[in-house]
Amino acid sequence: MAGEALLRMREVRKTFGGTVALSGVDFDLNPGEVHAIIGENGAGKSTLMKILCGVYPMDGGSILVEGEPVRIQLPKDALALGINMIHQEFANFSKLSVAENVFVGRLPRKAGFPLALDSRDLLLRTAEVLGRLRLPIDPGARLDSLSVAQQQLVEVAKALSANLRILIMDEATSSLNLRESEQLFATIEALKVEGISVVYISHRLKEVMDIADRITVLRDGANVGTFPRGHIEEAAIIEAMLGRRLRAAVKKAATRGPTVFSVTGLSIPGKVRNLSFELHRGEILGITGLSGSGKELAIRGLYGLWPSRIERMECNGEQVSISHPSDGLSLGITYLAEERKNMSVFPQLTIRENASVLWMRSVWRRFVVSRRREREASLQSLRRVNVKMAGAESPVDSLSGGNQQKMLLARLLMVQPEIVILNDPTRGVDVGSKQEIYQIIYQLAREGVSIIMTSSEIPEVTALADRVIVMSKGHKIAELSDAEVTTDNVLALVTQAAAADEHG
Amino acid sequence: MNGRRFRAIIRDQKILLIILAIALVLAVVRPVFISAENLFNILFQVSITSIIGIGMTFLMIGADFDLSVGSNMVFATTVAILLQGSGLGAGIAAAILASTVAGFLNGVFVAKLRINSFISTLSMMIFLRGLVLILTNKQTISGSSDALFSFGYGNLFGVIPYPVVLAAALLVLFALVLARTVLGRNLYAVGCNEKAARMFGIDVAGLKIFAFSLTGFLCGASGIVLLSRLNSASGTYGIDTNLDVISGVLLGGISLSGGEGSIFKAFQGILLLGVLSNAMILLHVTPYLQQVIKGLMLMTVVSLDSYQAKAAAFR
Amino acid sequence: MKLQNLLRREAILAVFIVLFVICSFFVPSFFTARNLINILKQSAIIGLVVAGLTITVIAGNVDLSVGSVVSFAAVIALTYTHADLSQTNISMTAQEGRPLLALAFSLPFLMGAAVGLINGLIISRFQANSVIITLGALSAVRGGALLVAGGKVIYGVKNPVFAALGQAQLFTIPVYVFIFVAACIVLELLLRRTSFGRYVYLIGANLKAAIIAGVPVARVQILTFVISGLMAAFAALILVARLNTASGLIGNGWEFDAVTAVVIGGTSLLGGRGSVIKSFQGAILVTMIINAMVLLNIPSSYQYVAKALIILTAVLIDIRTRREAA
Repeated sequence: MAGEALLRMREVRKTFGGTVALSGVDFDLNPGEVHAIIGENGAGKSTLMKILCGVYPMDGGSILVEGEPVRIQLPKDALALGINMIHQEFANFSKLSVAENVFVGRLPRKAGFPLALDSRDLLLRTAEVLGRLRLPIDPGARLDSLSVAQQQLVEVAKALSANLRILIMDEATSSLNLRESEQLFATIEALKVEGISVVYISHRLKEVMDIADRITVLRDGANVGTFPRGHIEEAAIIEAMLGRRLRAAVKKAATRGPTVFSVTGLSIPGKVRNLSFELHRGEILGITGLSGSGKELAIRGLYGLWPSRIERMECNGEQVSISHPSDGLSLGITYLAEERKNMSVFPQLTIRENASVLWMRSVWRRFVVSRRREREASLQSLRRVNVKMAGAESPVDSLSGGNQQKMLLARLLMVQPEIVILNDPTRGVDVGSKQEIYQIIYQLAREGVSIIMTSSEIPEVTALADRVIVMSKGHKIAELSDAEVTTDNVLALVTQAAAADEHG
Repeated sequence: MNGRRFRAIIRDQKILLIILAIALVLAVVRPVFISAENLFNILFQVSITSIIGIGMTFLMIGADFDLSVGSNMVFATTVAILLQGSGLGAGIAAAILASTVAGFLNGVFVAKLRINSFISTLSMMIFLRGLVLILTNKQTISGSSDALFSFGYGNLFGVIPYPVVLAAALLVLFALVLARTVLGRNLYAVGCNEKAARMFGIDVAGLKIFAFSLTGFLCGASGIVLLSRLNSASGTYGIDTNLDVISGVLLGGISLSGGEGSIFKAFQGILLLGVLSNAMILLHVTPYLQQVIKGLMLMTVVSLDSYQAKAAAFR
Repeated sequence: MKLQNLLRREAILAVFIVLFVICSFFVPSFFTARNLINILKQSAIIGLVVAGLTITVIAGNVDLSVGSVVSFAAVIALTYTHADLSQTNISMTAQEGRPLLALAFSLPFLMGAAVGLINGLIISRFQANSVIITLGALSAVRGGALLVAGGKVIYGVKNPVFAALGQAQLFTIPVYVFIFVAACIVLELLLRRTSFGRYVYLIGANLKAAIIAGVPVARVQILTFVISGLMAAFAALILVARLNTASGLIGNGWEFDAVTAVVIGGTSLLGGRGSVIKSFQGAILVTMIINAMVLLNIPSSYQYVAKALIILTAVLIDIRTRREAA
């Protein structure tokens, strides 16, 4: 009985700084099994898997493969055990060929010559691996000539070409459309047939229910339950994830304010087609859809962060245009970028200096900055969003992820914006901070600030927004308001759209 | 269909086409340009920069670069002259070894101590320049050796200068290393995505140290070629070499962001630069103005490279 | 614990004090008023270049063209204070033979600003590698200086205003030393107390975030290069005022000395960190070491070697302490 599991992780613990990421997690995996791990952002899914892959060392606990204790300290230890992870971004070589990507680090050599590359063998073996997965991809093509989905499938082939026993997929479908996802699931089935076990991390409940043999739910760094497929309802899983029954958000009766902002005919070649909408005073407008629907690009294009064409944009009745973020700021529109580390935080600087970034603009003309006014304004704004910190002069890196995110909201609020654009405001934030951020967003709307938001999690948009624009394949397919705004409605719409696309 | 292929040729071979165009114009304006003597003179000039250019191409494909190549070349020349008393072979071997060690140290600074390549190689440049000044006592030193002269001024089959033959041989050899060996292909992977390359078990530090050492080795070789013609060394030589090599390789389309390019392309760029230099001389452009033009050209080439990289990576 | 923090923050100052004490005891005639003033004098002129360069480096770039801007500016300045223009390639018609002081003072600054403007425009527009771009500018501007000077050493004529800039003293210390200190303070205030200064740090710390936050990235980057060009021109003016001679090769290698001082001062080449005051300390530290070497009769060729070792050591220490801190 005990000998059946391919992998056993026992009592795995990990802390980062003072934050507990994993508090003694158990996880089992059987041969040829697809085992999904779900949980909210910050629940510890990725940390657990990164420990298994040797990216992070664990602080305590044990890992057993086929009953034997193993030490995994470096990625190569994991690879030697046949444990392979498909990384989301940084693991591929876009300028190299598909074959070189598949066999990177293990390029075949010609017999006789010490270092000579056997390129014929390389192509043949790549073709063989791609064939096993039934992928119609040219082994000689440059990787960046493929679609994102195909690149991801090449990653699967890469893993399979080594002695693969366990494949970990972290949010593998996040940038795929429905048909591409189907292809990925077919590939997973092909892996199962070969006896390879798959750990599937996702927050898309529907697809998890479809493909996983077992589902493990993590919450706040602990395993709150492992369920075989068919023995649990979706609602029960959500309850396990959130630790409470989901409250249906109470939608306030709409007394819609005047239109403060409108966009007509926003287009981004190949990504967004002819999107138009209005934004009312004090309203939370959600833009949602699956990944690849164009919702995030639309928001970026709107703010001059992606080349786009807009027929007409009006702010408070006047025609305006935003070709650069500074144009937006001049109109009283602030923007929260989706990636905290890359696009928002200035490392090495203090919390105050980070918070006052936009505020600086208001004093740019006066040139000399009053230290006292800067400190007062920052502190006031930081307190308003309840950033927990030792002091505003501490380095920004001393803040936890959630507090950094709140600090970024403080940055936006410091200039008293009329309109706030939030691109995935709770990405990588713990559950507690999430609730606080929701409260801040509600409070803003109540104060008359108009908000445009999108999120990687559809329920988040439907819970917050008064009105929702649903997008699919770059088109606006519906606009829901007030009581119509529910996750089920949105999901039904995008599924219909995808199905229609499939047949038409 | 035909038009498309034609456009593809223009796009892929634009450097060769530019070289041909310049050559055509010069052949008309300054007929002396197409004399065998002048053409081989160009090839000789180009042979020194292209030997070093091989190393620079390896480095840039791995997303590094080296500012010390000019000083390192003169360093080799100096060592060879000073040690010629102990025999020509020993002098040459010691010179090339010394340059290789300098390159190796650059590699250790960059790959092991994680000092960025700008600071490491700039320091090495100053260090070697100082060393040359110390060794030469700030004088121009010279040393003669008939054997070396017969290499520098001799011709294979009575036509092709030996230095050109050497450069061609090295170019072909290392083009093969880069394109056809596991080592070469791994270097592309490193330049493309260093973090991932490390994750997949490629010895990133080892490859980088190899590329820097190879560059040092080739600086040594070109220092000897220089000696075979000039017969002297001083601390002031080789100052423009950095610029020529980096400009040439960039001109050939090797990107500073790494992961792309080939020896053949780099050679085209260096050849173009050589033809341009020759053209400027034939057109009686003063050396100072040549320097201005070369500087501006480097700026233009990098701007274009960055513009393309930016257009490709806009996110 | 507190001492450790202080040491980490003021590492250069500590090294400086230790070396100063050692030199005072062991290097003959080091600790004399004349020699100490000498150190100040020597650090002041290149110090102006260092101060300007610091701002460029904090914004995440580097400007290698400063050395040749010094020579070009020196040549221009001297050309226009000059009576005998026949030495140069500049041909003057109307006012030939008359010292053109206004031009002598303004043209170098205009040139420095223009070079900075071009560097800045290219680098900010294309986000191009500043090392290579300014390496090209280094060559082009040096060629320009050699062209104007005709490859010769040119000499100036006695001119009271220029002489005053180079020779006037206050409490036996040359006035330009005070100018240097004042310039450092002004630039430090510019960094610390103005929105421009903050933008310099923001751009150096995270370029992408700065763009998204609506920081006028191009304008600020261009301005940093203009400042380093202007400061190099300023240094050149004082240099020719002191020496009364110039050539296309003067200021050769200053870009390296300046980068050394900036890095030793603890300004990170990755950007986002550093200050003019620290670079000031770095400049004086390097000058002091070279000065001690001269007093110990170590040949000047060894200075190159020493400088290379100093900068590598400084960078290594910087990397080590940052690793410990992280």
